[in-house]
Amino acid sequence: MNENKDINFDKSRDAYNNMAIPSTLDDKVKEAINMSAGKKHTNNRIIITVASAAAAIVVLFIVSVNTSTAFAATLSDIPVIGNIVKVVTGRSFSEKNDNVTINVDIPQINVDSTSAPDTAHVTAEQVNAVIQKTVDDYMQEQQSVIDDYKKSFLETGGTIDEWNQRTIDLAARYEVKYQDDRYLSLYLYMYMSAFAFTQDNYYYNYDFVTGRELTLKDILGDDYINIANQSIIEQITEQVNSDSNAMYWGYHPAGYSGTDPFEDTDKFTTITDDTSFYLNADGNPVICFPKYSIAPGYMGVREFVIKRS
Amino acid sequence: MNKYDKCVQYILNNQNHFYRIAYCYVKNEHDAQDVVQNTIIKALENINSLRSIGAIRTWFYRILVNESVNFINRNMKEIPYEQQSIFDTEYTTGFYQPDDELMQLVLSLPNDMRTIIILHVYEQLTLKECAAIARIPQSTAKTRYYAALRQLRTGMEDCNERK
Repeated sequence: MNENKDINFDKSRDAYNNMAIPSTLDDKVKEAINMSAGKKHTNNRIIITVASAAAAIVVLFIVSVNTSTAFAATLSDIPVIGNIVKVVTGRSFSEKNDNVTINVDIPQINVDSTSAPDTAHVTAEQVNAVIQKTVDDYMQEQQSVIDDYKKSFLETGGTIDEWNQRTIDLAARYEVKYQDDRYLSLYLYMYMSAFAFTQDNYYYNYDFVTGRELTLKDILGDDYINIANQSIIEQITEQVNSDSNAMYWGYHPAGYSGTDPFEDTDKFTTITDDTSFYLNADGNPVICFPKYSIAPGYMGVREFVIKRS
Repeated sequence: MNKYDKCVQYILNNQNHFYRIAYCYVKNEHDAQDVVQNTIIKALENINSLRSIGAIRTWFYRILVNESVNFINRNMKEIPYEQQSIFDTEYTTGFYQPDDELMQLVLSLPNDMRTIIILHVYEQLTLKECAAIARIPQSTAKTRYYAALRQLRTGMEDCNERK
């Protein structure tokens, strides 16, 4: 069948491919993504709130460490912790119930029993208990989200077979971001991937000499807020001007003509003492902004390395 | 990267394709950009209807083609008695007209046939993919493709005679 042999589309296809693209298209496309990101944005506010509720538990713990004079005093007597505190995977399990796969690796801070005092054991146990509770609460909460969803799925005409074709992943993982004689920086993340993907991130930074939570002020000095803000704004400006796929609320390349629905509410202006961070392998703080907080969702968690001067 | 984020990446990387396809229906740059915007919003809101990321192009093009066709249908209803004159002269005046005669003919095909030519010939999708996008059996896609070729051939002959 050579019916199209007498029609040669080459020239026509070239004309199609060379069609003039308006210079405004790129901005219009981003504007549309912004609008839909906005909808997701509002939904995820709830998740952020849940995350901060969980963060409150962590804060309680920090208070208990800070007020535990026994802990602080004992640890400050110890010059080197490299061999005393170790992070290992405490509880690790995988299980599959129907179509829900759960993978959990929970970090555990172990204290060397021969050279460390009893109070250090107690404190490590406290940290471990907080992490354990954070993970357990998350798993329980997500399980009830899945149950609710399954119920409404079946009530609205879905069959159990269709439900079982879905795969749901639930996981908790951690990474040791930095560890030396004195500091420990631990990153814990948990996610659920089913009808939507949500992830909660937690960062634990400790100074084991003082026995306190490590702050940006400890690392960058008294002017830490200005140092961090200046570096972050520079990095954002550089990214939006050099990478056409990069977007941040309120920051746009020169000549941007689209609108920005979150410029007023979500433009990055300053870090606070609640801003999350961890230490990278070089010991520099990496400041982290949750997904949706300063940029559209597709940009994910935004991380900025702040170099110590 | 989750499905939503992958979809955004796909959109950012393929926006020119979307524009060209939409243009072939609405035939002016403002409306084509509106159609692309509406398609993106609709796609991202309904991201859960995308079963696997491997099918993203077929899925996205289906929404795009529907949006484009709906757009022309809506505008035809608003001006029902003047369709012909509007599409022949006034409506296209001042807008980009393809230099290529064959492409002009493609743009004046009935929607069903136009879809097949744009996707199969210009965007170089397989007839199977075209059938999936138009939600028609593959045999129907093939029939429409040959019907479109016949109409284009007649059109080209008319053009040559006029010269």
